[in-house]
Amino acid sequence: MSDTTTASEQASLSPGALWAWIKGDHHRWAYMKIWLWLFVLTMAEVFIAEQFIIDIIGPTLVNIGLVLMALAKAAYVALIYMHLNSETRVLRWTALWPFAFPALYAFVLIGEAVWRVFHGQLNGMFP
Amino acid sequence: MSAEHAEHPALMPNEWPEDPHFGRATSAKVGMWVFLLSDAFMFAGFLLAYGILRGGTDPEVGWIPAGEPAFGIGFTAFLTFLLICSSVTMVLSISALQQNHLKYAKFFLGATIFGGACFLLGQVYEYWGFGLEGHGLVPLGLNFGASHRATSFYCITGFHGMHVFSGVTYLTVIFIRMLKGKYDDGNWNHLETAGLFWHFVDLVWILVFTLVYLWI
Repeated sequence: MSDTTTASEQASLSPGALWAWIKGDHHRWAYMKIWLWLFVLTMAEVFIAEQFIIDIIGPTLVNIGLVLMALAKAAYVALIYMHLNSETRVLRWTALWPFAFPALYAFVLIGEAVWRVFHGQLNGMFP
Repeated sequence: MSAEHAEHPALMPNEWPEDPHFGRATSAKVGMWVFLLSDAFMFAGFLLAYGILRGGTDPEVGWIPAGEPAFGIGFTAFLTFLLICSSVTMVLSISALQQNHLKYAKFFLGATIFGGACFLLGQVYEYWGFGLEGHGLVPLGLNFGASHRATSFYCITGFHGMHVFSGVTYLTVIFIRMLKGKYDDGNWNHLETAGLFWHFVDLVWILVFTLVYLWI
């Protein structure tokens, strides 16, 4: 075991020592800032889904807001915690571009289901 | 492990041969990304089916049948926060191992496993309420097969719960290996690969929480 490892084994697990260790590196500090953003966005999502907010701005705007915040949170996790932002462009796009297909499917298939409802053609579609 | 492998320890991730397309991403990392992509498509299939069923609901009937309980948003928000916390401890554990800081790597990895286990317990409570009166979706009448809402809910959250269980098991194996000194050389390749899976589980839950629990 190296001297560095031996020294690290003697490090304190007190909250102060852990906090100092986290603040001592800009990457770790960035992780904590993202963690705070994820927390804030989660609280914001719960807040705007409250009935009095729905009454004020309507369910469509609430749903759009929810999806935008969820996508922002997902992007933070994928880019920062999963380090996609520091991978090559090829790996980044290999992981991301196939999601164009589910998005397209969602647009077409959910749109069609909604269209059927509004045109009274739902009966018999599902058991 | 063969004698040849034993004599040549695994390459550190930052020593991996440079590839023109994938840079220094290890084969384990690229393989995990490909797996996660296929896994994400399975979740996408579930969420698409949910969207089609919900979008195609007759407005006069409504999505929530009479007598079915509402989801506990506050409690689920807490579970979401728990997964987010376990994601940050995961990435801190990797950062610690990258610096050969084994004590912190073990501490944060242990915290991650603890967070995942608490999430699973929370999900058991959400489903069955630990037998407490007036708690749990099943005792309150949200039964699998009874409605589109109930069935899609259990399929999606149950499938995600199995991923959390797999993740906790995976991380526990890595943790035991770490305690046995397998990563004393500071090689973070295995931990980073397991971390990708764990972050993916968190990422999927972020979408499930919004689309299944909060969607109006």
